[in-house]
Amino acid sequence: MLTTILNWSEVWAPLIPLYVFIFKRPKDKFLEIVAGYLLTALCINAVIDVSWILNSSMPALLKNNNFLYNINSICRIIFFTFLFRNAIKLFKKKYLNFFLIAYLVFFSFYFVYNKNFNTLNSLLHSTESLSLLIFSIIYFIRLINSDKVFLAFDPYLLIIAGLAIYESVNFFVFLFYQYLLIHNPKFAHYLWNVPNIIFIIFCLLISKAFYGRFNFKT
Amino acid sequence: MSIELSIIIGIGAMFLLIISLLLAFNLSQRKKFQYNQNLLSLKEQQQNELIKAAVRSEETERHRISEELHDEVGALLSATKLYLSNLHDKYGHEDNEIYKKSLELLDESIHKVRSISHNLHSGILKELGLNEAIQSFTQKISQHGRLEVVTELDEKYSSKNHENDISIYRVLQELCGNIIKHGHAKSIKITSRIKDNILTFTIKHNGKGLTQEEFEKLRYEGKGLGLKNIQNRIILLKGKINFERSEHENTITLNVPVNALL
Repeated sequence: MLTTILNWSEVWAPLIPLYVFIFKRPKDKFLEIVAGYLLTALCINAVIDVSWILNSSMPALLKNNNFLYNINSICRIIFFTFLFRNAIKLFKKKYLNFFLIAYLVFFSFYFVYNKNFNTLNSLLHSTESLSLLIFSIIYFIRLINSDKVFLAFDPYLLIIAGLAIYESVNFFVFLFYQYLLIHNPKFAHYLWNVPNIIFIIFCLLISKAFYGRFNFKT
Repeated sequence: MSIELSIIIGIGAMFLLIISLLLAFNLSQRKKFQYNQNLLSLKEQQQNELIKAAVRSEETERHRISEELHDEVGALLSATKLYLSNLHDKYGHEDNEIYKKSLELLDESIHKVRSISHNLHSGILKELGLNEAIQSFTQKISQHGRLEVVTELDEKYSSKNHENDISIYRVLQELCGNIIKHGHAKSIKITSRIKDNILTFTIKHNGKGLTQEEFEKLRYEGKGLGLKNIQNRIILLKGKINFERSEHENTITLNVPVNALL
């Protein structure tokens, strides 16, 4: 039962923040970037999980769903780089544009020449994790060094905290996942629960970010 | 060490690293918040000290002017009156009307100078206390048939801090002055009450009143030194002032914590 819940967490977890987003309609327009990511992740993860369950009756293209994980990773880096570029303004826009273009060009060439887009690519995932983790760490270090005090509710603080936790834990999972799938698939299967659990936490933090400050009646 | 164990240690280490970073951020926020609070309280303290110094120097200046008016101008006017009487005795009663008018004007001037001097001086406060000073002041501004001023003051109040009493007295003086000058009121009623360590003065009048928003606006626009003085003294008293306007009656409520008066 718990395994089923965890296996399907990639699908049901994004529904929570998406529901809050529709219900609360946060005023900050840049939060739409996060909502956009969640919607994309929901669609991709739904296809992944459905194709995994109905593997035998699926069309040939969806029998191996690993490429969808790769697409999910690319989407994640695109959406969150946009968030760091437009909402958080971590660096100058041109630097983040350059980073994104370099990332996409590099992996386009990488996949064109390696032709292994149908496997869950550790290099792609760990690069994504490391890049977003570095952005998140820079964001927090800047906040620590600045004089700014967060008296008002800041949704980005929660989103980036969630992203940092998600990427920090997933970095090692993604880095060795391809290796483990070959050498110890049982452990790899168990290990996949870790990203699932962290993804739930990430989605809950995003939900809180969308919801805003709790108003307790006294 | 197996690769599986290395992965688990790696995941744990990364997780701890991020949690430490988040905790460091939280700690830095708390420290910054505490620092800002201290800074704010220091600024407030400095501002209060400045206001206190300004109020004190204003009071000293009032005192000086009051004494000079009383001792110098008052004495000069009394001497002039004496000389005028002597002149009248010496040169007869040919122009009696002019003499009478001059004497009348001189008397009025002496009376005015004494009245201004007493208003500026806070001696009565020291001697008789706040309630007596307010009653004496309201009696002076009362004009039969034109302005009726009624007071109902709580006798339970006993003065504990002379400087704060002066501030309350000056605020009431300024408010009554404004009600007469700008509000053109025909009747004013001042009541005071002590409850739960709060001394509350309520001024009701039938003139043109202000709303709280209008008071704040006038104060921020810097129109009128009087309103600024009122606000400064209220900050010193750690009190609150509230203006209410209604069709028939306007109310000004002044709340002063009694502990602040200690």
